[in-house]
Parts: sequence; C-alpha cells; structure tokens
Amino acid sequence: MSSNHGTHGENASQEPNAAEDANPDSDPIAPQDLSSPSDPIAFQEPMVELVSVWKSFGDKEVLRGLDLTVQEGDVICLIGASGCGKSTLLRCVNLLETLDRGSIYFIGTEIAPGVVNDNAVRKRMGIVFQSLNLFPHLNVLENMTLGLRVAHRISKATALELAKEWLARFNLSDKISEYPERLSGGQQQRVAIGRAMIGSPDLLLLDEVTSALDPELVGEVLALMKELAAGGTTMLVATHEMGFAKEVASRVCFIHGGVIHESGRPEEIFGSPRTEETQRFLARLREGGRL
Amino acid sequence: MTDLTPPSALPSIGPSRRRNGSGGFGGGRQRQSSQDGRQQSSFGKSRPSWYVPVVSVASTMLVVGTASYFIWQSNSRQLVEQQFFNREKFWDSFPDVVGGFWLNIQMFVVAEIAILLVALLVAVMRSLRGPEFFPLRVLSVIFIDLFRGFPLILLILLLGFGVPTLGISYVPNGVLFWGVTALVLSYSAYTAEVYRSGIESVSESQRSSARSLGLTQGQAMRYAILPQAVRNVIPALLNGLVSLQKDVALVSVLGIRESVREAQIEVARSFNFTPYMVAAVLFLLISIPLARLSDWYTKRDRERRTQTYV
Ligand SMILES: Nc1ncnc2c1ncn2[C@@H]1O[C@H](COP(=O)(O)OP(=O)(O)O)[C@@H](O)[C@H]1O
Ligand SMILES: [Mg+2]
Repeated sequence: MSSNHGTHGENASQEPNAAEDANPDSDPIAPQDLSSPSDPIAFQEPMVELVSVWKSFGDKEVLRGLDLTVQEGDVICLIGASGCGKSTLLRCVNLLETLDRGSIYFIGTEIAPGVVNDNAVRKRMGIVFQSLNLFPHLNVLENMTLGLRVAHRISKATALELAKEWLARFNLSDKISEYPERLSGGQQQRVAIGRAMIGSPDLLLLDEVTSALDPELVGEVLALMKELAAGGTTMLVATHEMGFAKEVASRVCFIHGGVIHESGRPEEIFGSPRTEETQRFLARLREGGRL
Repeated sequence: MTDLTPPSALPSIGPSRRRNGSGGFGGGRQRQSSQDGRQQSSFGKSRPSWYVPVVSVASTMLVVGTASYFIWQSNSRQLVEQQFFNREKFWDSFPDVVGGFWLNIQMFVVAEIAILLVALLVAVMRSLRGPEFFPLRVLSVIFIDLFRGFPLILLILLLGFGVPTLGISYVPNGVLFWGVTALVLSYSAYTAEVYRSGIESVSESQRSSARSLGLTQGQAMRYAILPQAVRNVIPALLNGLVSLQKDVALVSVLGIRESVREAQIEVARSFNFTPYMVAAVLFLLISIPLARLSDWYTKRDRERRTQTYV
C-alpha cells in the first residue's frame, strides 16, 4: 500500500510539514495515499509520524528536523553512515530519548513531546537493540514473558502459551528453559525479537540487530525478520544489511545530515539514487563489498 | 594456605612475561633469547606432585613453630598463661559470657536483616531517575552522608543514651533498641553504597530493554536491574556481614549485657583477662566460618563469571 508514496522525498527542506499541524488528516502526504491504487481504504492514519524532530546530545545535533511517515504494514529500512542517528531515531520513537523540538505521532496520538503514559506507548511497540540484551538472570521463557506478566498483566498460563507459540514459530522450542549465556548470539537475538513481538505490538523497531553477530549467524536472524515482514508486521529497521533492505523494504530511507536525505523504493534508492550524497554512500558500501 | 603457593608451572611464565614487557619490543626479545636455555629447562622439568603440599605444610610448621618457641621461651609465658588462659577462670565465666553471646547473635541477625532492607531502599531511592524523584534522591544522599560520617561508637552513644532521655512516647525507649538502631543506620549507609555500585554495574541497555517492554521504572528495577545488581555485590555484602558480627559488641558501651559486657564484668571482679578470651573464642567461632563462606562464594562467583565471558 505504501509502494508509491515514498518517491516524494522525505527531505526536511522540501516538506512544509508544519510542526503545529497536530491533525494528521491535513497532512500533505494524505492526498497521495488517497490516489494509491493498492490502498483499498481512502485514508489510513499513519502508524507513526515524525514531524520535524530535532535531537542533540550536548552541542552535537544528531536529528535536525527529521520527518518520517510509517504506514501500517510498511517495512522501512533506515540506512546511513555509522553515527548518522539511526539508533537515536528509533530510541526517540520508543520514547527512550526526549525530543528537543518537533513531535511524534503514534496511531494518531501525539506521544512526544509530553506523553502522559510512556509505558502505555511502549507496550504497543517492540524494540530490539544491536547489543545482546536478554536478561541474563532469566531463562528464555522468563525473558519472553516478563513484559507480558508485569506490564501487560497477562496470566501466567496465557503467557506461557504465547511464549510456546512464538518459540515454536522461531524454532526455539527446545531452548525454553535455557539461560541466555548458553545460547548463540543468533539465538539470543531471535529470542529478543520474540520478546519484542509477543505482546503483539503495532510496530516493531529493529536497531541493527545483526551487527553484533558472527557472520554465520546473521542469516537465521534475517530470515526471521523476512518472515515477520511477510506476515505484515509494520517494521522500522535500522540496518547495514543492504541485501535485506533490497529484498524486503517497502521503502528505504537514507539518513544524512540529520534528516531523511532521500527515500524511495529499494530499486530506486539502490538503482538510481538521485542525490550525490546517496550515490557516494552507496559507492562506499560497494567498495567495502557490502552491496 | 595452599592459595599462597603458586602452581608449579607459573613461576617460570611470570618473570619471562615481565621481562618481555619492560624490555620494549626489540630489546626484550634479544635479552630473552640469551636466557632461553635456562628458561626452557625450568619449563620442561615440572615440579613433582608432592611439591605443593609438602612445601606449604613445612613452611607453616616453620612459622608457627618459631613463633611458639619464642612465646614458650619468654619469661612471661607463665604470666600470660595465668592471665589469659586460666582454665579455671575460663569455665567460671563461660556460662555468663555465652549467655551474653546469645544476645549478640540475636542483635546480629535482627540488625543484618534490617540493614539489608533499609540499605536496599536507600540505594533504590538514590538510583531513581526523573525530576519527580529529586526529593527522594536528596533524602538518600543526606542519609548516607550523615550516617557514614559519624564514628559508629559516637552514633551508638548518641542514640543509645540520648534518645531514651527524650521520653518520646511513640517510639521504643529501650537502650537495646536504640543501640541496634545505631548499628543499623551506620551499616545501612555503607551497604546502600554497596548496592548502588551493584545497580550501576548493570548496563544501561538492560534498563532500556526493560523499559521498552513497558515496565515502569520501579518494575524495571525490581525485575531486571536489582536481581543482577545484588548478585554482583554478594561478596561485598558478605564482607559487611563478617564485619557487623564483630561490631555488634560495640553496644556494650551502653551497658547492654552482651558477651563483651559480661566478660568485662568478670574481668573486673577477678582481675584476670581469661573471660575476654572466652568472648574472643566465641566471636571467632562465628566470624571464621563466615569469612570462609565469603571467600568460597567470591571465588566461585569469579570462576562462574570468567567461564561465562571467556
Ligand atoms: N546518549 C548519548 N550521548 C551523547 N551522544 C550520543 C548519545 N547517543 C548517541 N550519541 C551520538 O549521536 C550520534 C548518532 O548516534 P546513533 O544514533 O547511535 O547513530 P547510528 O545508530 O546511526 O550509528 C553519534 O555521533 C553518537 O555519538
Ligand atoms: Mg546505531
């Protein structure tokens, strides 16, 4: 459904997406979506919308008025040089960072700045980080169900059932009572993705989840991500895995200079990048053999 | 004892490494090669299996024997025996001192439980984030600074003698209660810092992970951070336990008839120091096993960690 609305750039300078525009209905993107032939619904509320988001650490400005719209079912790949702000963007969406300026909408509600209950928001998102982050003192089952039991207040029996379901789906049923230190990195990241998905989030945020893994373990995690994408999970994925982006992304966003410098369908970004910066970034990737 | 004796292969490895380091890259290599002959021969011939036990037993006997010999030879031996190791006085004072020691143990157990809880509360208060918790953070810092700043003995005197004179109706007025309270406050301040170091040793990303699951700050602390933090500081907590077990005796200054006080009374009556030795033996009976337990746990913990992360 989102296949053609990416071509009009998300470039901050082009988009007069006013920060005070609290009503997404009057968003200039909306008319484009209306005309989208693959979209059966006349207008669909964006899953996530970032409007002119600014974020700096000290005097280092990382995000400089970044705009981004994610529709339901989108798989958006964020690419860009290391340090360009991909993690920061994801952390902002998950409310782990506070914004300097701008706002973030999640299913039509402004969640930043000044959300009342950030836990209620986080419960409807899942996030997996680059570093291996399972709780080392809990086994796989307990890792999977902690959020369900404590945050979602779901009964032990239901949580167990859900965990078994997800583990079976991820081919990890035999690891249910293992502790993380006894799992391979790939298995740990798969459990972490399961832990993020088990609460049926509306949005899955993945931050370079394969970067910390040995090369031979990357494949199993990417396969899982592809499966989730095929299942219709809305995903915002920061990645260096260009193969994944080419194959799975509904839209690729190249972050540069604190904004989405260029975005489009994978074949557009990788095939015929319009700006010089994008071309240069891709050329560097090719030199490094990563494209 | 055996810990002090290096394993047989190590001595030849240790020095050669050091030489390599201090000699720079090129020089070290050169010099080492001139000694390679000797190095290799000591490397090749490993020490026989009896070496470690025999050397440790022999050296122990040498040290203990020498010390005993000099004590035995000294003119004051008889006096020492009379004043400190008088068998008759030992058994005379034994029942009272042991009776007092039972109170020591009770105070120790109650105080330790209270310390572990109060300190945890203070440490968690100090680790809370966000402007709304600012007052709690300030309170915990004041608590720690204050009660760590006092000499323990002064705190015991102040609270033990001072507070009961106020005659406040809604708090207990016993000397014993306030003596133990002084112990709890002082040790809690220290122990809170132990907990806090544990909390800070848990990586930031663990906190992020917990929060991202929708856990509140308190829930993240309870289910994700604290279990790891406490595990990290158990050796330090055990250390505190050993130390508290002895410091409980300080409340004797309040006239509380625990073992040291009982011993003191006996000593004053008989002009003989043997009752103190009774108390000393009783304390050792508790503190040595505790110290060994602490060593054992610390060692096991270290081994487990190196196994995990190597
Ligand atoms: N908590 C922080 N404190 C200070 N600087 C930070 C912090 N987080 C990120 N940064 C800085 O922000 C920039 C963007 O970081 P990040 O979002 O992690 O980039 P990416 O994920 O694209 O590699 C980097 O220069 C990084 O050093
Ligand atoms: Mg990053």
